[in-house]
Amino acid sequence: MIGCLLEISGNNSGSAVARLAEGFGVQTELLIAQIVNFCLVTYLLYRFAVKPTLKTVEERQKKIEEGLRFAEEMKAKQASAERERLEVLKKAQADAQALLASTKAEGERYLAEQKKAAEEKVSQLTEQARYAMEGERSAIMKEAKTEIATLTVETTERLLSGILTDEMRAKLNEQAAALLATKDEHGTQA
Amino acid sequence: MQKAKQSLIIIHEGCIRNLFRFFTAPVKSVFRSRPQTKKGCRYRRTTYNGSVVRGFLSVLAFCLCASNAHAGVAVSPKPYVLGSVGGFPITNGMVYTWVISLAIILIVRALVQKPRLIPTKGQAVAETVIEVIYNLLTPIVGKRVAKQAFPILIGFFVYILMQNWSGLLPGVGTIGTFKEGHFTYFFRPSNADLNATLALAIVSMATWAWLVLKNEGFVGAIKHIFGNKADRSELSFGIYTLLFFVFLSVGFIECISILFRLVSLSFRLYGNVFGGENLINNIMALAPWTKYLLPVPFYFLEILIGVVQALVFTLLVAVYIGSICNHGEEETTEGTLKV
Repeated sequence: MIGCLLEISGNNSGSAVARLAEGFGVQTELLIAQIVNFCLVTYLLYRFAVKPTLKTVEERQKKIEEGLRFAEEMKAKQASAERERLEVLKKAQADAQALLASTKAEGERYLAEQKKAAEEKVSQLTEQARYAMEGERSAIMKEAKTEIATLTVETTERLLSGILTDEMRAKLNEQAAALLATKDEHGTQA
Repeated sequence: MQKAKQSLIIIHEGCIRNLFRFFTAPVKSVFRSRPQTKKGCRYRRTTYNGSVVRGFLSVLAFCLCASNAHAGVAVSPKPYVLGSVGGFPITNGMVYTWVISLAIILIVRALVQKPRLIPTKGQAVAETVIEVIYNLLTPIVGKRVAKQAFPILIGFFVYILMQNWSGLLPGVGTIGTFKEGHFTYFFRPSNADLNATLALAIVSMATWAWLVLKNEGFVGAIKHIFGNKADRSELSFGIYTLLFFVFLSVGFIECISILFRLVSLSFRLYGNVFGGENLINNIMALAPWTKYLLPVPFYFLEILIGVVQALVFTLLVAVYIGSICNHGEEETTEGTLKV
């Protein structure tokens, strides 16, 4: 193959390959110049265009991957935060319900206590009032009886002052007083 | 006749100044940060508009004149020597190779500039090309070798593509002078010069050899070429031994095919581009009026051929590398871009 190349490049003129090379204008200097030129262009192309572009593309891919990973993480975090929020909300609701229930129970208990206390107080007051009324009534009755007995005795005395003797009068007074005393006892019992 | 030819040369030389402005104006605009804006003017006015119009008209006139001069003459299979520097021959193919090489570097640099995470339009174009080629080549050469082979393979693709397309620019094969009654043009498409395509083939085979030796080693490569690929457990000893000789013979044929890759790679590319040059040249010379619109479809064909040939050359080199270095386990995995 190297022989062929040498022939193409014209080092071995006279052969068919050399004639072919001459016909197509193939020369060693031009061949080397073209090789150098292509290698130089390819190197510059790679060094200043392809490599930086590939680096940028790679960097972009990395950024996109990072971005997607970050988005995934954020999504997971958001889901977790949402879950936590719901849990907290649920717990708060439960707490609030429990608090409400306990407050309600406490209120009812307090209300019942207050009601009971009020009822007791009312009954106590009623009892006191009744006792007071009873006492007052019995005092009034006693006073009224005394008054009535006095009046009766006086009236009777006046009526009978002319008819009855002193002995009869004293006897009647005793009987009336005894009767009144008996009635008074019955009235108190009633 | 001589007078007419002389006038053509004058036209050519007169057009070169405007032609130069035409080609340099967009390059200047790339390096100009912002077009100049007049105070109080609603629209931006670029300073190269005038030279572009003048240049375009000059190119048009020039191409028509040059086509007249050149059309109908078969394109020479070898490049013209325009001069020499210290014994080094400067051919029209070499000159144009240098011009386009410089243009490739400038254009790609202008496109890419300093790559950013949020790409500019130019960077997006460059990234797309790089990604497409990388994803195309990775299953062929294997993920492991792709990192090593990619720089040279993308170089082949971009270089061949730009050189092929640049052969269609106005002025290529039409700007020149008459020497001893023969039209000598200054710019010849690089790949219509066998020196260039042979150089590419040599570089490709050197790359192939380097990658094979680096990844498989000398013994591995010999085993791959001459070794018995049959499964011992599935065959009887006799057939297995017989297959040794078969695979040895196949290895020798493989060696010949490897040696001829230089010829096939270089002549395929050269033949396609040179053929395209001849095709357009002859279409222009069919009749006096055919040079105006008839070549247009063939220009589109040449644009297509330019891409196909760049891709074919790159893919073939990748296949040659992958046939020895890719062991199949990575074929289905699509590579990720990494430096």
